[in-house]
Parts: sequence; C-alpha cells; structure tokens
Amino acid sequence: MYFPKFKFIIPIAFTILFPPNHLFSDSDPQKSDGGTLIIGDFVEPTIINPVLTHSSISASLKGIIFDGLTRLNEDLEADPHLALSWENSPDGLTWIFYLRGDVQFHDGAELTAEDVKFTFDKIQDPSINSPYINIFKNFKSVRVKDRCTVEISLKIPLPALPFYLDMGVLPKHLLMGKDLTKAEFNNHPIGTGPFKMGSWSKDEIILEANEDYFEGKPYLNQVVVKFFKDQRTVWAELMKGAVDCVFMTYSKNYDILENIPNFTLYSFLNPFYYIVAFNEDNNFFKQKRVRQALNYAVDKERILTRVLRGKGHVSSGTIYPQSWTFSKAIEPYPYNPKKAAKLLEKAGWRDTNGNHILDKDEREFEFVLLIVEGDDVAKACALLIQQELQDIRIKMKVKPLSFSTMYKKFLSGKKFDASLLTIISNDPDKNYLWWHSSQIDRGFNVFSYKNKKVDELLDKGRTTLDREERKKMYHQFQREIHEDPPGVFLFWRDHLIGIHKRFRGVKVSPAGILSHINEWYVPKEEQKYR
Amino acid sequence: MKKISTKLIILLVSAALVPLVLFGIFSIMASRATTYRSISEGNLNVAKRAADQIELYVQNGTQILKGIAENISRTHLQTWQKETIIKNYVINFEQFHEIYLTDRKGVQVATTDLGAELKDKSKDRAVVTAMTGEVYRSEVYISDQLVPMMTISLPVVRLNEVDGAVVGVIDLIDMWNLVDSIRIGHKGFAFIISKEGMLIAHGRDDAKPSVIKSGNRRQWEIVKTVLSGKSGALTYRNERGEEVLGVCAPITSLGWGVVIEQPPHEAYAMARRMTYQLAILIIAFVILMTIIGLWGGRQIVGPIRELIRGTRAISNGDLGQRVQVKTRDEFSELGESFNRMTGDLLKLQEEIRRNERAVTFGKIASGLFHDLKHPIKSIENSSRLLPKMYDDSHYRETFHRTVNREFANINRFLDDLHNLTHPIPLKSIPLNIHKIIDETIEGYRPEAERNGIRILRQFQRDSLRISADRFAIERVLKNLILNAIEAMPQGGDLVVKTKANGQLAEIEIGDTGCGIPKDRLGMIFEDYVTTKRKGLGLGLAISKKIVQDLNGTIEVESEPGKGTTFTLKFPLL
Repeated sequence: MYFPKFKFIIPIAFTILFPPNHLFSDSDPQKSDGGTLIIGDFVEPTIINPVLTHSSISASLKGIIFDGLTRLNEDLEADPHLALSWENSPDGLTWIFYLRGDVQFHDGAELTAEDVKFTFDKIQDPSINSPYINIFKNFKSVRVKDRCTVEISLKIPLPALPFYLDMGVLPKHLLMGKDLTKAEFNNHPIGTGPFKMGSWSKDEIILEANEDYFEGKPYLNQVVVKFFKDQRTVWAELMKGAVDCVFMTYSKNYDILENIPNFTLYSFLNPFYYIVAFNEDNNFFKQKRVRQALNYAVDKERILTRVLRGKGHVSSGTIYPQSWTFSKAIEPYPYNPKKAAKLLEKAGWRDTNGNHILDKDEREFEFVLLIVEGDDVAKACALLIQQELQDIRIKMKVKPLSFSTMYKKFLSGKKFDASLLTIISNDPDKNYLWWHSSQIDRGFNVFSYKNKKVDELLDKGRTTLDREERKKMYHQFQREIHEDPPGVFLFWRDHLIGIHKRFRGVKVSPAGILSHINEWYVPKEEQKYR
Repeated sequence: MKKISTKLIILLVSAALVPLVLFGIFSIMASRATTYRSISEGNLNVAKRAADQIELYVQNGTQILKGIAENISRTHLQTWQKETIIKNYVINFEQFHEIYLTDRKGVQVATTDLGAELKDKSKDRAVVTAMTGEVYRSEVYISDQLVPMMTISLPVVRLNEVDGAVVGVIDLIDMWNLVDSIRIGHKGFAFIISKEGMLIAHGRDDAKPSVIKSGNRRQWEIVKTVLSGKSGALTYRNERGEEVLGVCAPITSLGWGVVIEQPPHEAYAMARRMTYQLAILIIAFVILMTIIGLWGGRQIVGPIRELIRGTRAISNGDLGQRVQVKTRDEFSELGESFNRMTGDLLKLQEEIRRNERAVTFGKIASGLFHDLKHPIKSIENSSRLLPKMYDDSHYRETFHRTVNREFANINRFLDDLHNLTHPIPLKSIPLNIHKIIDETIEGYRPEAERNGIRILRQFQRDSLRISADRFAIERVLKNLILNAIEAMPQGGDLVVKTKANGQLAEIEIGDTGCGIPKDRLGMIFEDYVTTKRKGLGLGLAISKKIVQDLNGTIEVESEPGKGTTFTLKFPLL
C-alpha cells in the first residue's frame, strides 16, 4: 500500500518462503461397521405391527423391522424386495409373486410363501381392524403354489397392488392362532428387516442390527429412537448432541441448523398433506358452501411463509404434487375472506345477537380443532387459522392431544368437530382409504365424507388397468374433491431432516427416511457409541 | 584484494541497514501498539453498539407488553377479545414464545398457548412483581424446551390501580438473528452472556449448539470483566483453543454482556502486512547495497590493483611500466605520482649505472695495474741486470726462475680474468682428495719455507673420495693456500685438515695471519674485492663459482689478528 512497487514482490517472496500446501484429497472414508443412530421424535409409537400400525414413527420403524414383497423407490414406485419378480394376468385379476429363498426371520425361522399367505389372510380378518382391509377385502384368495411362489386372485383389478405389498410380512409360526391385536408380538415384533427389536420403554426404543439380514448386515450396530415433549425440544436435543437425527424440524429451527457444520440437512417434499378435516356428521360442516367458505377464509400462503418459511407448497387437494396423477390445472383456494363471508351468509350463518360470532338457528358457530400435541407446526398453523376464522366471525378452539388419544378417543369414535391432520398420499389410491364413502364405517374416513362422484372416480382409479385412463380418473377426482372439500387444504411441506454429519451413505426419499438405513454408516474414527 | 570489497559491502550494508532495521523495529512496535489500541477500540465500539441493540431488543419486548397492557386497560374488552389481541402479538412478534394476562388475583384469564388450561399464577414471581406496580424482568433461564428464555411482566393499571398483569415469555433464540448480524471482518463473532454467565446466543455457527448445552461461562476472564459491568479488551484462548482478541461491553440495564471475539491474525492483518512490507524492503535494500558495494568496491579496488601491478613490475626491475588510473580522484593523482616516480627512478638508475661503470673501470684499472705491476716490475728489474750479469750463472738461474714465476703469475691472472667471463667447462671424475691436496701443498712448500711458514696436514685416516674436475679443484686449493701464505708475511702455521662429516667431505685451510675485518668478511667472495688490498682479488670469486658448480659450499671464519679459516664441503661419493 505504501510501497506499491513491492506489491508484486510480496507474493513472489511468499511463494518462495511458504510454498502452498498440497490439497489433501478428500476421499470417501472407509465404510465401517459399528455406530449407533439416535433418532429423536415427539410422537410415541402405538404398536409396531405392519398390518396394524398407523402413527408415523411406528410406520418408520416397522419399515426397518419388517420387509415387504416390494419396496418403494424414490419415485414411489414398487421395486422387487422379498419378491424377486411378479407377473399378472391380462385381466389384472391374478398375480403371481416369486419370493427369494434366502430370507430368515429374526428368530432364525425361514420366510416362506406360507408366511405371506398368513399375513394377507390376517389383514382380511375383520376382527383385527387392519387399516389395509379395504385393499385386501378385494382378495378372492391367496394360494401357496410352492415354498417361494404365491398366487393372489382378486375380485377386481388392482393395478396399485405391488405398491401396497411393501407392507411387512408376519411370521406365521409365531402368530398362528393368536389374537393379533393383543399379542405380545406387538411389543416385541419379529420381522426380517435390517434391524430387530432390542428393548422398548416409555422413553426409547432400541433396535439392534440383524446380522443375518439378506442384504447383508447393516453397518450401524444400533438404531435408538428417543421420545421428547415436542419438536422444539427434539431440535434442542439435536443441537446438544444427545440426538443424531430429527425428522420434521420446525422450519425456524431448521434455518439455524442449516449453518451449523455438525449437521447435514436433507429435505424432500413429504407425501403427506396438512388438512383441517371436518367431521361432516357435525351440522356445521354438512354444507359444501361452509367447507368452501372456510377454504377461502384461511390464508395458506401466509401460513406457509410464517410457519414454514416458504418450505413447501400450498395445497389444492389430496394428490401428491410429484405424483404422475397430479393435475396442475387445479388451483388452491385463494385467500378471499369476503367471499367466505358471503358463502356463509348464503348458508344461513349470520351474527344475529351481535356477539361477533355467527349463529344459525340459535347455534353459535363455535368448534374445536384437534391438533397433535408437540407438533409446533400444527400449533403455529392453528393459531393463525384461529385468528383468520375470527375475522369471519367463527370461533375455533384448539385442543392439543397425543396422536393415539386423538385417534382412539375422538377420531375413530367420530366425536370431534375438526382435526388438523397430516395424511399420507404416496399413491393416489390412498385417497380411497380416506375419502371413499365405503371407508366411513370401518376405515380411515372418520370424517364421514360422502360424495358419489368422488366414490365413483376412486373406484375407477383403483381398478382401471390403463395408466392414461387412471390418470384421467384421478384428474377428475381432484377437481371433484376440490369442489367439495372435506376440509381446508393447507399445504404439502418439505420434509426437513437434520442428521449428524458423521453419518454417511445417507439416502432419504419420499418412500421413507429409513428405507435405506442398511446403507448408512459411520467412519470408524468418528463413531461415537460402540 | 577481495577483503577490501567485502569490507566495503559490509560497511555499506550495515551503514544503510542498521538505521533501517532500527527504524523498522521501532515503527513496527509503534504501529503494533497503536493498531492494537485502535483495533481494540474499534471492536469495542462495535461491542458497545451491539450491547445497545440487544438492550433495545429486550426493551422492545417490554414496550410491546406495555402497549398491550394499555390496550387492555382502556378498552374494557371481553376475554376472547383480549385473547385475540395477545395472539396477534405472538403471531406478529416472533420473539414472544407466549403472552398471558392475569386478573388482579393473579389467575390467568387469557393465554396464547393453544389448548392450555388457565392456571393460577399468583405465586409466580413475574405476576407478584407486576402486582406491586413494577416492571419485572427475569433472569435468563432454560425452558423445558431446553432453549434460553426470559420472562417480562408488567401491571395492567386501571384507574390508577393494578388490575392484573401482562406476562410475556421471550424466546431468546429469536435474538440469534440479531447476534448473527454482529460481525467484525470475516471471523469476528459475538456472543451474549446472561447475568449468571450463561451463554444466550453465539454468532458463530458451530458454537450455537453450546448455547443449548448451556454451559456456564462465568469462569472466563472476559466474562468476569463484562459481568462486573466493565468493558475491555483481552487476548486469550477461546473454548476451541484458538487465540482471540476479545472485547466486551456490558448491557447495563440487563446485567448481561456482549463479547466479540476475533482471531488476531484477522484483526492485525493490516499491521502484519506492513511488517511484511518492511521486511521485504529491508531485504531489497540488502540486495541493493550488496550490488552497490560490489560495484563501488570495484571502482576503488581497480586503481589499487593497477598500482600494485605497477609496483610489482618495478620490483621486478621493469622501470618502463606505467599505470593507467583515470578515476579523476586521489587515485588518479596517485597514479600520476607513481608514473612520475618511475620516470625519475629510470633516470636515477641510469646515472647510478654510469657512475658504477666509472667506478668499476677505475677499480679494474687500478686492479690491473696492481696485479700486473709487480710481476712486470720484477721481470723489469731482473731484465735490467741482464746485460751486466749475463755471465753470472747464479744470476741467470735466478733470472730464469723469476721470469718464469712472474709470467706464470701473469698467465694465472689473465686466465682468471678470462675464466671470470668465459667459464671453463667442468669434467667431473672420482678423485681422492688427499692426493690432490698433497700434490698442491708440495708445489707451495718452497715458497712457504721461504716465508717462514709451516705447513701442517691433519688428514682423516681414510681417503675421501669426491666427484670433481681435477684442475678446477686444484685451482681452488692453490688460491686458498696462496692466500694463506700471503696473509702471513711474518711467517706462521698453515693448517690443512680433512674429515668426513656425514655425507660431506670437509676440507679446512687455516692460517694464523692477520685475519679479515668483520665488515669485509661478507664480501670477500665477490669480484674485485680482496683483503690483500691489492689486485682485483679474482681468486676467491672464482673459487666460490667453481665450488658451487661442483655442488659444494665454501665458508669463511676469521678473527682479525688470529687468522682465517676457509672450509670447503663436497658431497662424498
């Protein structure tokens, strides 16, 4: 600066004095056995049984304890897994699955076609109340052709069958003649997956590596799931280092994680939609107009920005935006509170007594929204929705409940007004389970949503073999359910996952965060727990 | 020669360098001190501003709650309306984790916590303090969600009476964005410390988890400083073991502190750059001075070399040499003087030579006169009597002897004179030296007896054999014996000794004559010098030349009044 002439000398002199270091090549560390993954979550699992489970964490865990005939890939299509291949008859009514012959259950027993038949038959047993019943009730028969061959005859064609058969296979020899809903097995499940159940207490579940896994022993020795109060606490535990992996981090906290070198972040659009689903048995929500009005009254863009910092898509319906059946033509309901007010007025709701709450037939428009306890995103959404509904003079109370309580005590008994739920939609046929009127009595349509056109389109979508035809059906379905919404469609959110950087080989996809857990590993020198 | 250039380089380099280095060290030290001060002060100012911002952030929370309290107290709202208000604040001000209102008994009447039951908060310190009409600000605490939070509460005053409390729970994680924005350079990050020494926020990403770990930092020197309400600057090692320059500023109203840490290599990058530049400058100067020294040395050494060449030529006798020095300074003056001097020397040398020639001629002339005068006179005297005494047989015999002897003398002299300029070739053969000596002595015995001289032989018993030219060695012996006889006109002893001394044969010829004075002893072997003070004295000069040619040596010892001894040494066969 003071000696401009020497400026050029300095670099030269320094190159001579201090030759630049050679860059160390950053090669991949050796894949090595050992290490423990600690997953933090705030929803305690109910039961881990492939034919019964419905909470999200137990769904993740059943996926690593059990194997299905198929496995979903990143595009949510079925790849061979326990079944090496399959074929179906031209009418789509007969399917033959060829199993691998080298698979053992965690207790050492061999997996055969008998176990597959046993599992499928169990699901069809109405007494166990499996959420998959609606698919399997279309089974005419399951026949064991030989040890490794299973033939399924269907009543109607089900092109999505391989997609559903990613569900785990149960060991017949352990469950024969037992009541599946009450069996000790549900607390100590035995499957064929890469990890086997170690211990299960209130605070944590410990899974141990399956040394004899047919795809080879997973690198990790243990997977531990620990349960905490809420999302924020799980995040804090991750920051503290007590937990290695967190799903569904609150976006605000995710932003902080993003810059911290200890963590690697993963994200993909989760095939779950957020919806304020209404109970149509309730007089408030019987009218289509009211449900439409509520869709106009909620500013989803604002929620997405405020709560998720824009990490997601406003939803227009119930079909996964990355699905081949998704229709872009259908726009989400715009935020239009005036239109909402008008629709409500048309439906007969007015504030006649001047208490700032709409009423009709001397009944105030006042309802309770159930949300999952500890889900900070749901809580933040509920707060915003509450304020927005207040604008159109609807009073909404919020009640946080644990998922199992909510499901068992309120939803399944249809004793609720509305619930903020995240519903899986990794295949368009999943809509059948939630919105087909046949599922009202026994199934997931606890909302009593009934729409003849929707029913018809879901039936056709499920049974049409031609892919283009199926696509058309689902496009029409989207239009129909959008027109007659079962609830307020909120958004699809990015699934945000923070994982400690020592884990390598991590592959996450909409098919499941842990679906490739046997490929995760920790380089020897970085292993924290042995 | 090279030493002068080296000395000159050292002189130049040190003359230029010592002040430069001293100046450099001084200015680096001075600039270090000032940069340290100015950087610390600069960072400190940032820290103070940050402290103000944090204070404002918390104050802002208090102001918002104050606004809520006034809205609530003046509007006589229904509970659901109050709830709507506080929820709107929680939605719009993300720093609020929760806001709730209590009635004058301290029981919650509205809360933003969805689905939570309304609780009795009358024992809660926040509510108790607010009920006294004071604003309450809690210490920072770790909530059950494991994140740092603080509670602020203030009274809802209606008609000058406390009618309830509004309580806000502030999520301090929300402050992180603010703390993240406090940066100095690329690596200067801030962190906030609560009154208890708890880390509330850290601007450096990899240090953020340690906020959740909620370790206490009270033992840190810089934290101690800032929690004692002082601002300051310190250099220390941080929790990662890196050296940092830390500055701190207290957030007085909260009792918290802001600390900003910056690695010194970044803070002092500028000063360091100056030091490097100075170092480079010094190196450049050393190189420059060396070049100048080499060039300058050549300028000075060049003429000196030329002069040395000139003086060497002169010392080798080449007076015609001239030096070429055209430096137009003292050296060229010296060169000119040198050239003048050699010119003068040349003239002087010629003059000396002329004089020498004249002296030599004189010396030769008188030597010739002397050496030839005696035999000629002798012959003349004898010849003068010839006509008269021709018949006297005794005379004739005497005459004959005299003439013969004197002619022999003249011939010998002429031979010597001739040999001096035209040496005779030597023909060495093995000889018995005793035999040669005996024969020579016998030749001089009559003359010695005539002069009353005894000739004594003291030979070694065994014969001594040397390789020599017989006639040459005879001449040497004759010369020495004749000299000895002539040195003893009054008679005396002439002693001839021989002995073998190691590989040498030694022959001593001594007399008991008058001796040779010391001052002349060194010159006796030179031409034209003689102790006899007559004639050219060629004998000894020729003897020495012959002895040297025969690989021998000749030495002389003499004591005036006692006698002289010559010693000859020849290698034995």
